[in-house]
Amino acid sequence: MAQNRIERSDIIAPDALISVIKEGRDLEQQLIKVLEVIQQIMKGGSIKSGGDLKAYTEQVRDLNETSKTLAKTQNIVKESTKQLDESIAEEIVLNKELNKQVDDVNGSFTQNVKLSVRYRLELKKLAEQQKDLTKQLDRGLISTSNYVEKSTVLSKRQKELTVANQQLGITMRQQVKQANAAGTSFDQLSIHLGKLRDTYRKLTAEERKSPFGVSLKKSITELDKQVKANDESIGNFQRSVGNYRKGLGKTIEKQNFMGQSLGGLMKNFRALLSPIGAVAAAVSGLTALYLGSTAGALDFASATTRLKAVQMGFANDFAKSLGADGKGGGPLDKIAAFLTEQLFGMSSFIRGEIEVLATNRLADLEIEAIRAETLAAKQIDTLEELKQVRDDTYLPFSKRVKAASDAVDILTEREDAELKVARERLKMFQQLLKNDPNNLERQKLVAQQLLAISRIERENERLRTEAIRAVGRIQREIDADKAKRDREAAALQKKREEEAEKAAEKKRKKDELAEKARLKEIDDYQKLDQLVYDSQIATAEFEENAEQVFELRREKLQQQRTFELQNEKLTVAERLIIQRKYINDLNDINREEADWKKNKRQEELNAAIEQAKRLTSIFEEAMNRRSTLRQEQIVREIGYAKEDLARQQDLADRGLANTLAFEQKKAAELEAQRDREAKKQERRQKTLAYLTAFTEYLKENPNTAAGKALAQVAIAETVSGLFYEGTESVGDDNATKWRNTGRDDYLIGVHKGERVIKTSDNKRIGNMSNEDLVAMAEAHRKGEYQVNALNDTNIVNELRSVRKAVSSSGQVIDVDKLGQMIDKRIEDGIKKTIVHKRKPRRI
Amino acid sequence: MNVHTSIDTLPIGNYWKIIETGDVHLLLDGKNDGTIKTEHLQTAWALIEEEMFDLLAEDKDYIEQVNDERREYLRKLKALIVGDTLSILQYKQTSLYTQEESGDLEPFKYHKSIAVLEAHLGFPIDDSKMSVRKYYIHAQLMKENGTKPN
Repeated sequence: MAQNRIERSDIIAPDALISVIKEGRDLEQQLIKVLEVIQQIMKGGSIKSGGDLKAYTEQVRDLNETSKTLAKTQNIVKESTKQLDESIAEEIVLNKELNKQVDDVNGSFTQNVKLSVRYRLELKKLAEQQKDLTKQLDRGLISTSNYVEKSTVLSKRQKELTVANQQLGITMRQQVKQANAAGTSFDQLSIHLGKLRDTYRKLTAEERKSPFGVSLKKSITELDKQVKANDESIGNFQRSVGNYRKGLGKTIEKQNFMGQSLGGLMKNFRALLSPIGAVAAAVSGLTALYLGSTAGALDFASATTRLKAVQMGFANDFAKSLGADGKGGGPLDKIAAFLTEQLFGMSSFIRGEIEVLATNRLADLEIEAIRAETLAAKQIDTLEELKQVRDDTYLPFSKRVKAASDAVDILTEREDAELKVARERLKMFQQLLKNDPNNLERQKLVAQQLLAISRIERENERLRTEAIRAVGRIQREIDADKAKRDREAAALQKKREEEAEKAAEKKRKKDELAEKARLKEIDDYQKLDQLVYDSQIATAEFEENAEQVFELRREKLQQQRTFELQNEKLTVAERLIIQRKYINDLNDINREEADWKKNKRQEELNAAIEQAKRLTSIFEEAMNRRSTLRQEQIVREIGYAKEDLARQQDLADRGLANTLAFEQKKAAELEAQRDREAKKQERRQKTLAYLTAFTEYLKENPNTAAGKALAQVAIAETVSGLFYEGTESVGDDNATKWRNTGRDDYLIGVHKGERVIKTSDNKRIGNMSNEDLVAMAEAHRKGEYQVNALNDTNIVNELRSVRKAVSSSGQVIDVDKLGQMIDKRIEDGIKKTIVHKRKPRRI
Repeated sequence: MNVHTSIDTLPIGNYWKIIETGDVHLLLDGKNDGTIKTEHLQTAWALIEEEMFDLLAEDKDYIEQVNDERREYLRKLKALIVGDTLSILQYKQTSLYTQEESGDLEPFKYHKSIAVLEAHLGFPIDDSKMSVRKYYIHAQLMKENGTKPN
């Protein structure tokens, strides 16, 4: 019968699925351990030999099989979990519906309790009314008929309430039984078993032989079997050592069943469990599922009991196994009956049963009291440890406070546990005393128990007070410490703030000094710059050092910019302003320098022109004077030659020896020399005229930078052109001429104050005559003639460009025989001829 | 009646059939007269396997390949045991040899190997006579010299 009911899938499925999941996970862990072993073996080292290969092949085979089994296991667990989730959802819905229906019919347990209390209060009230009514009748306050009439109403109501209360009591008893029946989880059954054993151990020999003792022993035996079966079903063999081998067999089966379908697996799994074990497992599984998720244990008990008929059947079976066979006598029945009596005041139980129940309960309580005392003793040890921690001033406050707080909690817990047992014992003693009020021993027990409770309360109160005081003391220490720390922190903070303020003040002063120094430096730079500038402008050295001064100013400006940009406080905008100012100032300096150079060039040009003019005049005068002297000499020589010629002519006429031919030749040469001198002077004048005109053009075009050089070169060319035909004679004395070649080949004596220039040097100066050389040297010494910039490539280039410009200007300058310059220009297509008349020169 | 206990005498044809069918009676050279038990044949097969492993171990390329495969299996094991994403990704990224499990790699075809070897050698092969060792050495030489005959 039970087998058929158990097979109903909606009962078995959740538990079986839980078992599958659990065992699947266990198997998964085992397989992973196997894989770990394989992993360790495979890590052993690289393969080198045939033996290694063989071992490796086996490892791979094991690995593949194990990993496949693992995959199957994981799939089964996954699938079972999914099915379990679905089953749970269905059961929850079904349970709630059933619970609601039952509550609708019977009312909930809480409602019934409230209703019962109300009935009892009303019955009590009716009894008092009945009593008052009787008193009134005795005193003659009411008539007999009136009394009967009122008493009848009260009695009728009392009967109704009594019946209703009895029916309500039956319903509630049933609910309590259901709750008890639901208390069949593994743990609850184990606890019951322990209690039954403790009770049995307390029985005397006579009591053990009594029907109660026999029944209790039978219940213990059956319950023990069931608990073992339950443990065995979940693989716990601590209670059943002899079944380890069987457990190992199951492990092997686990390995094998992985190849089967899930249905086959469940079938196999069911076969492993006893019917009771299966049902108990089902209830256990459901308990685990529903606790905490539904309306609590009572709700769960009710729902579980009514969930399926099979569970009711099991509950009945289980109740029978405990001796609750419906006829009374089983411990649960008796406890339930006792509770019912306490709750509902039902008088259907005989005094003897109460006596037994109370005695049994006292036996239980005695055990519990011993346990409570043991616990209390341990708690005292714990309290001592906590006290040491609490009073250890070297430990942090948090630990000390926790220890003190824990001590209070433990004391409260200790007191509750002790009082709970003690008060329940008191109740039991009072119950016994109620049965036998004149029993002095029982009166003594009640009094002793009251005293024990009082002692427990006093003792615990004393300990708790001490513990609480300790907490307060530590708290005060904490407060004092905190206040001290706060003061120290405040002092430290104040000190830090003062130090920070001092440091800030120091830094501020330092910054101010730095700023002042910076400003002063800037000011100094500016002053220096101004000073330099002023000195440059004001002093006569400026012209000589102008370029260096401008360079110095640029350098100073650069230094100032670098210095200002070193200031890290500057914003980007300020930096840009400084850069812009630097560029503007630099441009100003460059502009000043450019203006200065321009003016300087103009001045130099003007000076060159003036100098050229002076030189031209000097040369003109010198050449003219020399030419005049020369010509006078030639005239004189011609006179001498004429005299000699006349004398030789006279000798020839007289027929005497003569040098007439020689003298004639000499006279002719002198004439020729005079002609040459005249031509030379003509060329010189022509050149000088060209130079004069050229300097005039320079005045008209002051931008011509090479004017000075041009003039100088022109002078040089002029000078060289003057002596192109040879140097002048070094002397007039023909006696010094070592041979007469018609050239300057005189052999002369030289005084130590005189000098003779080498031919190569003479070439370098353009074969200049001694007189011209002396004149130039004298002019140079007097500052009238300066030769400079000839080596300047730029100037030479400009000279060329000027020449080219002049040649292409459409202007032709010529000098006639009279030394007059003739300027021919073509302007606007009209040819103009201008003759610059000069004072006549002496030829 | 003899029992082949070495790859020097066992024909490659028999070897392959044993691999395919697991029937160790193919180690017999002739008909079993009942004196040879299966246990004896399994022992003989174990000897042949060991010789085969020794022969394979002489091929450095093969050993290198097996070592690579072993490292891959270790990554697979780590992925199975640890089960974290990194280990799984590492295994999947480097998976090569174990693809054979999922059928990605082409399985070995015995008869095709004989045909290829015949083409390489230039003469027909009687696999009921050619020993396992000779077959393997020819195949090894063919692999070393390329697909064309010398």
